[in-house]
Amino acid sequence: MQIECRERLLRWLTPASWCVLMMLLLLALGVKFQQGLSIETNILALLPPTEQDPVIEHASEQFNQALAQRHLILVGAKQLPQAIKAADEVVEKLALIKGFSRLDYRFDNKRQQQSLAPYLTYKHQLLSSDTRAGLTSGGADFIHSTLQMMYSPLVPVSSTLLENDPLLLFYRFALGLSQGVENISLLNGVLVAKHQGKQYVMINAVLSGSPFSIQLQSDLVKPLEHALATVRSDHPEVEILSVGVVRYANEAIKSAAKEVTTIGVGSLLGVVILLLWVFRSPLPLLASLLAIGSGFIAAFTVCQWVFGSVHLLTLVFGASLIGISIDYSFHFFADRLGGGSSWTGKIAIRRIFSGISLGVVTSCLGYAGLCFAPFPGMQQMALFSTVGLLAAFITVVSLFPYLAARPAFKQGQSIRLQWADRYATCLSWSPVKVVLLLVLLGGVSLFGMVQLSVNDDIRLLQAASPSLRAEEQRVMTILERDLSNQFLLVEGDTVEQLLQREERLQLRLIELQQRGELERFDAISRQLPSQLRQRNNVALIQQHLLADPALLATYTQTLGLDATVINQFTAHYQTPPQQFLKLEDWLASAAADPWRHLWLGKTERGYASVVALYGGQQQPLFALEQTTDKVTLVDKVTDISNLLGDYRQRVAVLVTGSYLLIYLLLCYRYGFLKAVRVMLPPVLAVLVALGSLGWMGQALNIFHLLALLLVLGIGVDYTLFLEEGIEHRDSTMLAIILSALTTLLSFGLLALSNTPAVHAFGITVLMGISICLLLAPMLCGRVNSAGNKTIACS
Amino acid sequence: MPRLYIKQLSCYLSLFACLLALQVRADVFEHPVVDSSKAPALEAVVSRLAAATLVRSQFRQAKTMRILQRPLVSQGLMIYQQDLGLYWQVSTPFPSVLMINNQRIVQRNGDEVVTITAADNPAVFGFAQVFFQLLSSDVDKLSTQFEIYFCYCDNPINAEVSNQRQWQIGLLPRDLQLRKAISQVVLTGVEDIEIITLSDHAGDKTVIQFLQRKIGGDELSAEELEHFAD
Repeated sequence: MQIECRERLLRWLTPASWCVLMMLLLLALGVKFQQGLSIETNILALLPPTEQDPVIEHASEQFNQALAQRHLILVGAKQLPQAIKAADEVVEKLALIKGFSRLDYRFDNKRQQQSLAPYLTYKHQLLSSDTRAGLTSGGADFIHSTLQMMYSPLVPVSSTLLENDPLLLFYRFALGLSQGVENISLLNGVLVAKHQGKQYVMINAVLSGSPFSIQLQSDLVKPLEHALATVRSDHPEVEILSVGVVRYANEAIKSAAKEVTTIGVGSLLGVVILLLWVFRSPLPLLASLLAIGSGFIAAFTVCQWVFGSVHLLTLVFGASLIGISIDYSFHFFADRLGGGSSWTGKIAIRRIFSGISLGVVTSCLGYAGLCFAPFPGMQQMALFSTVGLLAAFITVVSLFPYLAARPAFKQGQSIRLQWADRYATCLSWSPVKVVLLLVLLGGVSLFGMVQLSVNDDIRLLQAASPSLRAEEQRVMTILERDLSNQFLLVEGDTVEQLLQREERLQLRLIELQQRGELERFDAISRQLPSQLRQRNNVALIQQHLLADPALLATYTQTLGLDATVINQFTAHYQTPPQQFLKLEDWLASAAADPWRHLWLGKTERGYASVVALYGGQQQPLFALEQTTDKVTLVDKVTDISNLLGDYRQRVAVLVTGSYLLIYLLLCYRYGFLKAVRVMLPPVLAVLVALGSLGWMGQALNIFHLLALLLVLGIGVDYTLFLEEGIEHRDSTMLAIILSALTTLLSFGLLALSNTPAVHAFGITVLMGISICLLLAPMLCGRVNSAGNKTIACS
Repeated sequence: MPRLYIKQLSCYLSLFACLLALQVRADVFEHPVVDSSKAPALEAVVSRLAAATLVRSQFRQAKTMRILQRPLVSQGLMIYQQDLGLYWQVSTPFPSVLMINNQRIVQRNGDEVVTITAADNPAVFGFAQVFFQLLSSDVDKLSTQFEIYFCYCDNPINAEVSNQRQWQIGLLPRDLQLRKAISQVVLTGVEDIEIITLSDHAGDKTVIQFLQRKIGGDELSAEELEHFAD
């Protein structure tokens, strides 16, 4: 039955079918290439949606994308003219760069008038929130405070102002528009932030596409750096800061490319030398590379088609997981090594078929298990490595019998087998020494584990050079912003309902501000009052200012103001307003420029907008969300860090469960005590890995635990092979050493990665597999002292 | 006859030119200061003003506006302390209190206290900073925001102390935005500063006159220090 199955499969798996498969894959890849390949570097894209509600998830995604497309440049100098001169040059150069869709820099008089223009038509129905509060508390007091303003040195009253706005109502509204924005002021027609005696001119740019697009990055990043460097060298006294997601994304790609060339080339070189040395022939190497390469191409193509893009981390992890398929090649060529002159590839593939097909099925099942983890990233990795392993397996089975049809010419590799055997013998310590070593390792590790801390902060997992982080931090300090990613998502059935909801929300946010639980917020309704509010404003003026004619009479008399001016003013309030400042007009005007990203527009069930929060405390905001209808607090970073913590715990349970399950299986096969012996190397590998993390002061995260799963899978294999292959320990040991060395070369070198997640994975595998390789021959497959194969260690 | 007429005319013309010249010389804005270190006369005034790290004075502020039938006059007390800031207490016609320093503005009207920082309202804060700098008369600082002009007036304001000459420092805002609100500022004084005049393009004018201005003197009393508290 099994043989029948094998034969049927082998009939299909021929070089011809392999060629057809590869052609199809390359064709599919070519089509994708035409459409533009995309490699995702945003670590958030690997993670599951944090919101249950797809509308909210989509809306917040939209907002995050809009934010990611913004790029900010600050040009700072002691003297403003100096800063402006340098900023002029920067803008001049940026204008030539492809990849920016907008550059906001000069705010000349025309631009300012444009920003106020949509309001001017409706100025009689616009009031600042302070004015509204003042009017409500009484017209007489309001008139009194307006008179006070007239005398205040802080109010630049002039004839022109009073003619158009005798009660300073619109003046106060216009001031309120810029209220609470940032410590930015408009000087000489540019936006200026002051910090520690320096003046920073602000250049706001918007990217023409996603900062993760490789095309956009290559259009933009280099020319931008070059432009800034030129201006920097022309004006050494000027400080230029540039922050935007695109720089992070580009740095991630660049560092990955560098790692691929260093770690990747390093591990490849190691594997190449190892294989050439062991097999004394380039064929096993080339064949293995062909298998891995086919696996990679298949995996990459399928992922591009299924997910639309491949994440950088998928590439790194997935490529390494496919690397395991080299073990299939080992089996094939090891068989050839000891095969003798009657050996043929077709017989060999049948001999190892059950072994390697069992291997590919169990590995694929193991990886497929990752599919059930609700991480899109893990699903991607699972698919990537499953497809890759299958393709590599197909390559081995269909091509290898033809690539290596005849036995190897050079005999005498037995020296390698002897060395492998000697390694095992050297480690066949006396039981006392072994127990001592185990106790020592376990003890030291347990001490390290006590010091082990946990950190699930997603930001720590993202690779960013300290200089880039420092630059961003500096910009945040200058602008007095914070790095929080919190915002409130507000929904409404209509635009009007949404604006009214925001206006009610504002009151509660102001309460938070007064209690010191929130520093600042930005909301569209601050800039654009709802129609209800506009109507209400007129009613307030009628009720509190115009109802009693004596009020305005006192005002004009005290000031000596011309009566016609005040008559013109009152004439506007004879009838309720018919026309309102509307969202469409506002959005179309320059007034909306700094705020447009807060408007999310139509959703599946109405309209949505964002209220951006700065310096907010978690608990009060959460309470606010709970008690406010149609308002959702979105805090991606905290949500994801919590989620990562949750999954770290789940994976910890999964790891423990797997170890227990395997132990139970081994008990069935070997009995309790022997099963302990087989399990000890991987278990100690886990302890040592965790313990060293503790000693090194590295905080534990989910990626360490995922690596422990791999250590278990591979480590148990070693002990099992040794137990089972006690008859031909030399070749088994050689296969294990080869497998361990290649694993160390492919995974272990990941410990050198700059991406903390990749590094965490690599360092865990590095330590775990080393321990397994050390302990496996000590504990398993030991030849008794009475055995016939005692080779002296000395 | 025509010759005589022409001679007469030329005479008038030259007289007119002289008058013009006189008038021009009286306008401080004909005397730009490019490098203050090369203007020893200005330097002397500047260092005298800069030495005033503690000032107590009465003030009278008059805002004259075309649209108003009479100037808006307010009077009160000011205390300037270099490190703490400016305390501006209006006693008539509407009592109110204002404190300005680099970090914040504190307005007190009766029990109501309003604090404004740059982040709260950049426009108001920015304007207040200009006012603060004008009142501090720190010309070095002002020169970052204003072009500086300087001259001595020809007629001393006080004939009895004719050896003391009246000086004027003219300030033109460098910032176009500010220039819309204030077209020019003139600081006038003999020894100490006496008058600050702010003008706008529409012809409106704010004149701040200092009376009984005392430089230095006693350290701030506990009560006075209270004015600068948050």
